[in-house]
Amino acid sequence: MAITRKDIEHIAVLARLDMSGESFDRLAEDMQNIVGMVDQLQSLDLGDITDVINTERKNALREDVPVQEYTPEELVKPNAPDFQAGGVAVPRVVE
Amino acid sequence: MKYEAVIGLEVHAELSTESKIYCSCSAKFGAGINEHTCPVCTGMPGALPVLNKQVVHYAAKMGLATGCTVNRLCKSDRKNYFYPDLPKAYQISQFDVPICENGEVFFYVDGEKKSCRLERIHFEEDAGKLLHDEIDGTVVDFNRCGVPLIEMVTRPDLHSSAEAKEFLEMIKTTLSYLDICDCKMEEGSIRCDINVSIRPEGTTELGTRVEMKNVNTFSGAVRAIDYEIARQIDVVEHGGTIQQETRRWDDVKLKNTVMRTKEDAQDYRYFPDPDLIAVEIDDEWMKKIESEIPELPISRYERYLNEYGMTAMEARQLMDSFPKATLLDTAAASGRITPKAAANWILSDISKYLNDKEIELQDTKMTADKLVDMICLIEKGTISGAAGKKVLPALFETDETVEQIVERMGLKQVSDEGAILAIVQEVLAKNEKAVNDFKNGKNVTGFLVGQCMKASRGQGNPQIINKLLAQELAKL
Amino acid sequence: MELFKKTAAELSGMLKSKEISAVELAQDVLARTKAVDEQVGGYITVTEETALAQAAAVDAKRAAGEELSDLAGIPVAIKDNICTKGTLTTCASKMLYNFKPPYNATVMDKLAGQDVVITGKANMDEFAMGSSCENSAMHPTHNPHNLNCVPGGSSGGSAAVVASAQVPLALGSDTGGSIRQPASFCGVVGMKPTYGAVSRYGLVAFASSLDQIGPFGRSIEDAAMLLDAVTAYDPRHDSTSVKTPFEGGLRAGLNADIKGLKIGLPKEYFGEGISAPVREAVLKAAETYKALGAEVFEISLPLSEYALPIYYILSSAEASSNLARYDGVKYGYRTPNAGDDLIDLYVKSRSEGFGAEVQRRIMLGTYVLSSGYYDAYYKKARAAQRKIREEFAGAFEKCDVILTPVAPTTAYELGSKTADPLEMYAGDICTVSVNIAGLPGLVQPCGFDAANMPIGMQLIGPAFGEQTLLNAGLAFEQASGLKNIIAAL
Repeated sequence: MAITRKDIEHIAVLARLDMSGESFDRLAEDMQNIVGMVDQLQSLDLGDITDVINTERKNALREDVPVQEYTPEELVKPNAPDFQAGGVAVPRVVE
Repeated sequence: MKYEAVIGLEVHAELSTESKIYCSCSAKFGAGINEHTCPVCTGMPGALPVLNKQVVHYAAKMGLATGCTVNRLCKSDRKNYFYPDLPKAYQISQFDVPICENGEVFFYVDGEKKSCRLERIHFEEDAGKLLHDEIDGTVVDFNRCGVPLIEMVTRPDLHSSAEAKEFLEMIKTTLSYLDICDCKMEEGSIRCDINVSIRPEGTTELGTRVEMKNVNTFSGAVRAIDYEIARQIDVVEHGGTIQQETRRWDDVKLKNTVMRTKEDAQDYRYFPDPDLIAVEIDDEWMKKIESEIPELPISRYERYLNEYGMTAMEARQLMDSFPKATLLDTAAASGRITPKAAANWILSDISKYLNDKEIELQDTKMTADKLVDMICLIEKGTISGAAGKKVLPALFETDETVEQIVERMGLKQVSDEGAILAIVQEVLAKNEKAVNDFKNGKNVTGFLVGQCMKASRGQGNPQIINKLLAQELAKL
Repeated sequence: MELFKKTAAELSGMLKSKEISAVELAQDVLARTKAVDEQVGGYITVTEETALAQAAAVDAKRAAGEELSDLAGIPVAIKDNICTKGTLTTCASKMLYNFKPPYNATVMDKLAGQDVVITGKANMDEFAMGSSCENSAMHPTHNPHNLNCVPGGSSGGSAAVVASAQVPLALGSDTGGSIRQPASFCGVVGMKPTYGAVSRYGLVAFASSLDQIGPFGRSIEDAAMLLDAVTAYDPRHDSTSVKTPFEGGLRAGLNADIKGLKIGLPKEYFGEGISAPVREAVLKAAETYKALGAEVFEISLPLSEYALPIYYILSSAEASSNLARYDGVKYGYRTPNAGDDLIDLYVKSRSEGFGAEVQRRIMLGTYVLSSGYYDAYYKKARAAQRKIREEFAGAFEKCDVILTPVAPTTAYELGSKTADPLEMYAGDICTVSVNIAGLPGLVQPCGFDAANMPIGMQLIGPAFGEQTLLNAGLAFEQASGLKNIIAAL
């Protein structure tokens, strides 16, 4: 399956990456080559294997016991690019 | 042309667990901004989820209560999209193997029994909250991130806003019966997205559906559905076609507007979450879940109608409250009183007390035993019905037995004829005017009974007072 | 005294007998770093102050007569994708240039509990994506054996600081060979444990189902010591963590007697893609094993030819989702060029914050998960992964361990493979299957090429076969004398 330039543009939108501009041609070529490589998998015949649920291990579950270890000052503030009113601030979101 | 509306719902209910679904943060509502957060629910690099067992338990419980098949083996998947309230930029949810599938919910609309099939129930994490009033921009509060939700997806089986409302009410009642959701609508505990399409009446093909988001109350759902049905009919009647799109309901302006069209439909790139492993509910666990399912609301409702002979309104009122219905059923099960007698108390004085005090039955000291004891005392004539009403507050508020309360308040009814006769004679002696009026043919019985009750400080048995008063007056 | 040249096991003994103090040792290795790391570029952050404070604390404890662990006072470097509370954890990315985690990875808590001295954070390919350490947004790392060559990657910094004797031990992470290939290039021991043996909590995720933290050292015993220290069942924090049969007991269980050990040589790993010096060195190691009494025979793992596509599909798919959280909102880099538009903030922060290789992988991963392609790529790769697991399980019915090369060549010159991503990916051919199958893999030096660059060999074991691997590694190390190799700088 060859990946088209339109595909790449669409994927960039989904991935929130800017793939426009001068670097696009280079990226498109790389992507086509890489997709060509992973396409080798298509020649592998797997018969009827369909892997819906991996059951090698099951039930890593936690008891419902609350523990509060952090304050917003310790947890959120130190790394927030913009911390206001107790939380991270972003440009106004119109919902 | 006449149209039929076809409606499907996606109902989200927050589960009332102590901690969040994938971390140990408190899941309680109402903390200060970001106070219930940790590296996991704020999507810190390197943090990993561990599933809360209770979430699985609760989701399976709801599945059983709605006739679903519970998948003994299920998994978690990632739903990928970018939004500031979603710190990992993916929501952990369930995609192709949800915990429950193929259920059916029954409910009554204007006395007619209806049903709506459930396609699936899955568990997932809630997103955070965007606050727009704090600053110029938007502040993200992650407290709600990771609060457990179940999403219940119906088949398109509903055909009117009234049906949708009754379905939603039944879901809410069922959640409260199972005690897995606090059902506080004002805190967003239950929310729904609504899919609406229309088709010419009598046809079976589904029309193009429109999804409506931001519906936060059941009455809002009614308004949103009615609006959307009317809007779609209007479009079609004017020669237009319905576009597949997502619209946002505004319950203040009472209209909806386009959020997303089909062209910018999301591609969520679901895939199994590699940080989580399969969930298996074994037989033992399943039995435990099954054992926790009480008699369901619809069954109680029908029993109250058919066996207890209640009106639809009475039965509904009792069904709606799990504590009240349970009080009734436990009281009735004592065999010492009639269900009707208990229902009357519950629907009138008990409900009034709870409303006045703005308190929930389960938060009081009322028990079925106490209620039954009190009704028995009334039926035996030990206390009057009026005295019963006086006893009631103490039943809610103290640990005393009914006998102790009656004793303490001095409400024991006097039925001793000798004692009452003395009172009657004393009253007649003191009320010369009334006696004269009686002799002149006036009806003064009511007044004299009242005086006797007063003289007995309310404890005289009214029947005996009536009898003896008539007997004494006749002697005059 | 040149303490820096000693192995962790030797140093542990000297510390216990109070022949040296932890502070002396810390000062010695930090001085070595000052002397050589300008050339090597192994560290992103050197935590000199806290290291000395930790060392002083260890000495105080020892003076007070406290019972201390074998690793107490031993300096360890940490790959910069493992969260260290309050200390920069950048993943060698502009995206996390200023990120100081508010919490510790489970392995860091484990090390702290054993009074280990942390010397700093080691360089790597950005978000562990790469095989040469050239994808670091900070600076490249140089191979201590030849500064014009790459140290391998992605844990190139961890391998280089151990090979240049700046520290006896380091932690790395391995998603498709990221511990083993740099260990091979730098002539040190590196081990990728069985998936789940070491908690991933606090390891910044690249591909969750493949990532594992593991040790670097200059001897088998040292690698065993560090793996013992970090192996932990961590059900509270990591759902994929498992209880291992060997928890903490690998060093104690070391035994170089390997008579009768069955060693399989998969013919697919010795094909024409493998350079002659590498092939010859590994086959010579096989001869050594025969001489030690092992039974060595050829096996076949025919699905190996699909390992690269499977690996690049699965790892990129998971990475595209794992790296979506770097959006400029909560931590790390936020573009100054977005104005008031949220989408702009996302797109610019991500495009400016991530390097080219990371963006390529995100693109590939997004593509293979996207509507219409999921079944053909992601779902098929998952199914093929099961086949590969079965194939290895079948092989381990015949042999105890599998011996292979680690990389097609020895370390190559910086810049020589950066133009073509596919050429770089092809270098992972011998290592990715181990991650796909969740198995343990041990790499240790087995010779040198004509340019005197180290050649490594890889021993692959069945799940939780770490002890068997380390024993086989020890037997070879003793027979070959290839131990504690320190690059001349």
